[in-house]
Formats: sequence, C-alpha cells, structure tokens
Amino acid sequence: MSTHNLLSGFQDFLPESMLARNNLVSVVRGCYEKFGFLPQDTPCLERTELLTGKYGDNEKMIYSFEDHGGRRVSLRYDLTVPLTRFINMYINNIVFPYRRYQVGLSWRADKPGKGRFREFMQMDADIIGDESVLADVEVLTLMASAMEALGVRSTIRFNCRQILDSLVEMCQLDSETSVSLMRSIDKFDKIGQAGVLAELAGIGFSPGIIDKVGDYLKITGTNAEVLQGLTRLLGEAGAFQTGIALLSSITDLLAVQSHSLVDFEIDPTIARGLDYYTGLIFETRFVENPEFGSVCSGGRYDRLLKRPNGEFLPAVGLSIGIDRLLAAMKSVGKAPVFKTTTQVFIANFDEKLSSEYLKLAGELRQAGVAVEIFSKQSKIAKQLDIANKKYIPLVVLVGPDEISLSQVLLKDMRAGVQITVQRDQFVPAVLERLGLNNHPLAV
Amino acid sequence: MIKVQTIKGMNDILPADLLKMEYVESLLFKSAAKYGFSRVQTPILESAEIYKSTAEFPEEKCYSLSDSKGRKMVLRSDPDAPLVRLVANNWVNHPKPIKLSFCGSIFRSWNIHRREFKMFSLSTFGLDGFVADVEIIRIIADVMEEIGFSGHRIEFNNLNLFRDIICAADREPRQDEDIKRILHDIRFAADEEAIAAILRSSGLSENIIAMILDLFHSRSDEPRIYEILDKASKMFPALTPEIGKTLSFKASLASYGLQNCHLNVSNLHGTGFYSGLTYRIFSKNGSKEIGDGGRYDQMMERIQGRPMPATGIGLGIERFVELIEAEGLTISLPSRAKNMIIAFAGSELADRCRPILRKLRSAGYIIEEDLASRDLDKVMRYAKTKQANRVIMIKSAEPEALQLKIIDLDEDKSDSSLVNDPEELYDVLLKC
Repeated sequence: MSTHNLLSGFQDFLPESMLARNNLVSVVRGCYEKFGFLPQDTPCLERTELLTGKYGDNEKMIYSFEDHGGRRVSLRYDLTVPLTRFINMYINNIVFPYRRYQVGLSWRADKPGKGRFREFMQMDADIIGDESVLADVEVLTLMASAMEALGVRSTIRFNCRQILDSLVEMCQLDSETSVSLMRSIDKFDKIGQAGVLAELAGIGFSPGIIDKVGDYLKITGTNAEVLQGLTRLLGEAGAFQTGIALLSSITDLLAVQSHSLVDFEIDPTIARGLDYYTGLIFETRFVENPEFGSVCSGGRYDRLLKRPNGEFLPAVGLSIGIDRLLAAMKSVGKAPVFKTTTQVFIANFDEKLSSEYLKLAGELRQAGVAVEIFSKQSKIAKQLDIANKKYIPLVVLVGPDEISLSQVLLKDMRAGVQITVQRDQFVPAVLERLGLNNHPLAV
Repeated sequence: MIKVQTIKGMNDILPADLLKMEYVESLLFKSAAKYGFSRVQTPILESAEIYKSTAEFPEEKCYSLSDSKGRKMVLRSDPDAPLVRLVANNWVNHPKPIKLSFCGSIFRSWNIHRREFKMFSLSTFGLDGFVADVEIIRIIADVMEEIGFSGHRIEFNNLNLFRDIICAADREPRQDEDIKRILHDIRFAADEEAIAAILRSSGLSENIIAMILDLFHSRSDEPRIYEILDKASKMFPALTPEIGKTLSFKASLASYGLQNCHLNVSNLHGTGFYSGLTYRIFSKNGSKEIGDGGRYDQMMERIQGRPMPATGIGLGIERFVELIEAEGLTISLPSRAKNMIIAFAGSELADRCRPILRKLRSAGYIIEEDLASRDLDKVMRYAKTKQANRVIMIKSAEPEALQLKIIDLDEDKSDSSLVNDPEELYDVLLKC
C-alpha cells in the first residue's frame, strides 16, 4: 500500500468549505459586475522570464520548472504580473479604460502557516488606462460595497505614496534606507509604534529621524485632523502638495456616499510593501477583529503596465485573498455556513421500485429540487441515518404499500415529523416543506 | 525584450468567452446538484506518486517539478486520481455513495492545441453497480437538452469483455497488468494487422485472434457484435456474466430515458486506468465526443490499500463550448441586470448624482460611471464593447435640474428627459 498525502501547504476543499468559498466568490463577483467589471482569465503557467525581476526577494518562492519543449515556465505568483503580458497581447482589442476582474489561483513556495497556503485563490479587480482620482474612488467604493454585501463591519484605511515620499524627503533618506523605513512602517499593525521605532533604531537610523517618524506615526484623528497633522509635519516636502491634494479629493468624493457598515480612514501607517504602487494605497480590516490584519488591499500602480510603444498605462486595483477572507469571516462568526445543497433523499425500500424512484426524482428535479436517490436496498433506519449525516432536510419514503395507496410519505428531518401526501400532490408538498412557497407548483 | 505570448498550448480567456464557459460550468454544477452531487476542489499540484496508480498519465508525460526538499510534484493531468486521494484521506468510512462534482484546470503537455484546459467531472464512489454510471451520463444529457442539443448519442464498451476473452483463452492465468498493456497497445495500433501482431506476440491462439479482430472489425455494428459475443460465450461460458452486464447496462440507460446508445467495442479509450464499462457522449450527429468516462474500480485499492468501486465522467469546458457553437446553438447567457454606462458633463454634477448610482446598484443594476471625460461618440463606442444596454449622458440644466440623454442600445433609439433633482433621476433611470 502506498500513501498519498496532500502536499504540504496545499488544501482540498470538501463540500462544506467549497460551498462557503463559492458563496464568497459569488457575492464579491456580483459586486464587481455591478461596477461594470468584466471577467478575464490567464493561464496558470507563464514563461519564467515574465515573472523574474518583479518580486524582489520573494522571487525564490516562484514554482518554476522546464517543460517538455525545454522552456523555463512558472506557476503564476499573483494575478497582476500576468496582466502586464495580457495587456500587451490584446492592446488592440481592449477599449480603455478597461475594467477587468479575475478569480484565480496563485502559487507561492512560502512557509505554510495558519491561513497561509502555497496555493490560494485571489479575486482581483482593476481599472486600467485611467489616471483619474475618480477611478481611485471607484475602487475604494467597490471594496466598501463588497464588505457590505458580505455583511461585515469594516474599516478601509488609505494613504498615498506621495505622503510617504514626503516623509522620506523630510528625513533626507536615500532610496535604500527609505525601503527599510517603509518595511518597518508596514509592520505598524503587528508591532505598534514602539516596535517600529525600536526596529529603526536597531537598523541604525539617527535619533532625529526616529523622532520625526515617531511624530508621523502619532498622527491620528478624523480625516480632517489627519490631513492637518500631515500638513504641519510634512508641508514643506516637494511631493507633499500632490499627496495632500489626492487624499483631500478622495475624502471629498467619499463623503458624498454613505456606507452603513464601512468607514474610510486616512491612515499614515499604511505603507504597503510592494514597490510598484505609485499613488493611492489601502487596506481593509474587520472592525470586530482588527488583529486579524488586512483582508483586502490594493492601490494605484501607474508604472507597471505599458503599451507596446513603452508608454505607461495608469492602473488602480484591489485584490482579495478569498481563503484569507474566509478565515477572517470565520474569526468574527460571519462565515457563510452550508452543509449541503441536496434537498431531498429518496429512500430505497425495494430495488424493484427503482423506476418509481426515478420518476419521483425526475419530477422534483424538473421543479428545480436537488434530489439524491439511495441506490441500494437496505434497512430504512440506516438510510435515514445516512440522510441525517448528510444534512438532507427531507426524506421521501415510498414502499409497496404507498404505491398501492397512491401515497408518498415525507419525513422532515429537521422537525422530525412525517406526513402523508397523495401522489398527485407530491411535488407541491415537497416545495412547501422546503419553503419554496413562491414556486408555481407549491400548494 | 520579454516575449508577450502565452506559452504554447496555454490560452488567455477574454471576457466574452469566459462568460460562456462560466455559464456552461454553472449549468453542469446545477444539474449535478439536482442528483445529489457535491462540489469539491483539489490542488493543482499533487505528489508525483499520485499518478503512479494509472498507466494513462506517466510522470514523464506530466508537467513535473521538484520542491525545495527535492520531492517530485506534478501538475494535475486528470481529476480522477486526486479525487481518489481526497476520498481516501477524508471519507473511507463515510456513508456511500459519495457523489462528487469538480471543475478545475488540467495540464497535458502532450496535447497540441490546449495544454491547459478546464475539466468538469462527476465521480461516484462506493457503488459497484452501473446505476451510478447511468446517472452521471443522464446528468450530462440533461445539460445537453437544456442547452438545446437536438439529441445525444452514447457509445459504450465493456473492457472486461476483452479481458475475459483473453483470460478464458489462456491456459495459464494472466496478470491484469499484462492484459491492460495488451489493450493499451491495441488502442494505439495503426491497423488490424498491427493489432493481430500484438495479439500474436501475447501468445494468443489464431482463433481467439480472429474473434478479437472480428469484434474490432464490427465497430458499432451491434447485431454483429452480439452475434460474435454469443458465439464466444458458447465457447467460453465465463464470458456470459460480462455480456449480461453489458446488455443490462444498455437497458438501464433506456430506463433513464437515454436512447441512441450503442455498444462500440473498438472504443478502447482510457485503457490505462478504466477497469470495466467505458462510455463517450456525442451530440446526435456529432463525430467529436463531448465527454467520456468509465469505471475505475481498482484505483482506490492501489492508492489507499482498501478497495472501493468508483466511476466518473469528464468533459473539457472549452471543447464543450466549441461543440455547442459548432452545432449552431447559441449559449444564451442568463439575463444579467440592466447594464448602464452613465457619463456626466462635469465633476460637480457627478458628485451630486453619485449616491443615486449607488442606490441603483443596490437595486441590482450594473452601473458603470464613465470615468474618462469624453464626448458621447466615444462613450457609445466604449459602451458597445461592454455590451451595455443604455448610455445616459447627464448635463446640468438651470437652475438645479438635470438634462438627460438616454440612448437605448438594445433598440438603437434615444430620448431626452429633464429631471428636477437626483431623486427624480433615480426614478427615471429605474424605468429606462
């Protein structure tokens, strides 16, 4: 006997978790489509050369190998870099601004951990070919709509690259040390202000810079107060006016909308590690469990996508890690719970009655009901136990006696009650029991 | 400069095609759910060991790679073996049958045009009768009917007929793997002469070789096949149960309303892992199969050490969509909510109306605000690429009113309207 274990960091999805994941995908997809985004897909495998040089130190986490034609190929690391190839290939077929979304898997040979897998599903939405602030606001609003559709109280925290550039300028840092600064600020949620400052001291930043960063991290309050605080601290930096104008515009545009479950907050501690962001950056976390961290993030990346003539294509987008979102929803008790989609179980009294069972099942399926026929004759108690273990709400019991009386027994497993219905009233009775009262065939 | 092409055999899927594929997938899942099938998913990467249980997908043919610890992994080249692993890991003692539906990417380096494609599959574990096979064929036929196919044709075979003929003719017991190899070689033989050579090299007598060749020659001539099998069963009574089973299978297909089903003994697909009944589904007059399947009753024992009967069917989604369109059928996507593109003459106007757009989205409409400030012609061109139903251009009118130009792209007509405030705008857009 050989053992075939699941690879470490990979997961199977059994029906219950599959139903929960599908539900999330379906809700979020519905929101994307309401904002005019259309689906697209790209292959799981890309030429390795497309992916190299895009992910810095993380490049070692790309799964690569040689295919049968001797080409170096890789499993995609995210959905964004393949988009660069996609845009180049179909540039003449695309009308800009291009609103696309993609639901797909990505792979990273990362160390597996709680909620972190080597194969994971992402749902990205991007607006490409549009540099307007309005596009930024649309993406933020889309994120808010998705959170509301999922029914989770959330905070969308945003900042912009120009504000961070202003801090770098005021601290007079070179590009290398500025990367270290951003990485430390990015850890703010996990290690707090003291942790960030201690880390900077450990790296060797001067006390003057650490004080300035400390002042920066202390800026909190309402959006108006944060804007004032930033102006006081960074107002003299060259990049500041662009940054503050962007944040002000976004705040003004968001103010005309009302979201019952979502707040938008300017948060100077949002830094986002990825180098390719050029403007807006944002993260989303649940109000009831902020410690879980961000469940969705994104931003503007105007210098990643190019036209064939080398001209940059501005873009803004968001990415939701579905598995992580599901784990976060579980942590606040809001994860969708489904046990089965099967609604009726037809017990098998006698294999000679198979054609009658097929007829009953056919009538129900025609009416849109999901039915499982138990295909082997066995003790009814055992069959009821199976239906119960499978969480199927209704069991149909038809033996020779019922057939001779033109009757059907319906056992409602939820209520533990059994009713007898006439054969010609069978489908409407099932629909009623299942709560499908608006169905045209319901009694 | 980096090549912007996809890898050979790997394709991007653009929105219009993806919407069709997703719709067809949803029909398949919906139909399967009506028969009590539950949807599952497995990873794309599997331990290379997994496909050793089948001769159909040897590791050297699969896309394979090693992890940082040197363990061999393969990209999923078929869903059956991973699903067997899933059942073995989770449900060995679960009430049977276990009915699973699946859809995911499949990778086959040996395919010329499509090396990555989406495959939908149905599998039933824990039932050894053919009622499970009939049920999964019925599900695919249901979907074909729903899509509008004028009918179906089912070709089936029973690999055990050949096994039994070969075994019955042997003086010494023959290993199952040996028989599988013979059938596998026959499947890829160029002609009848090559088949005869394979059978001769396997030590079979001339009269048995003649019988097998006669069966192949008969292809889908059912009366002739049954005549040969009848003769064979008189010579080798051990054949009788499998012949009976094959006939009963056909009768059972008919009891599920599946007509136009034919025994075709020359169909040897999947000899690498199928263990008995095999089948393929075609449109009524089509020559390219929509899906194929069969029993793989021994795979669980090879993987997990304990036997569990199993059967399954698979179909490629891209191919199914192509065959639907080749039949001249239109994939009528479910009617989506009304899709409007709304363009504003000025940002202040947009700020004023944006809450109304949100309200419309909450009411179920697909509302895209035109983010690029541009003239109506360009908005119209854009709207057509998005297959929008309406374009609404909104301008200010004195003092607080809004001037609307409503273009109905479905009917190719336009209308103008004046509204006094955003609330009135909401009512007008709801109706337009």
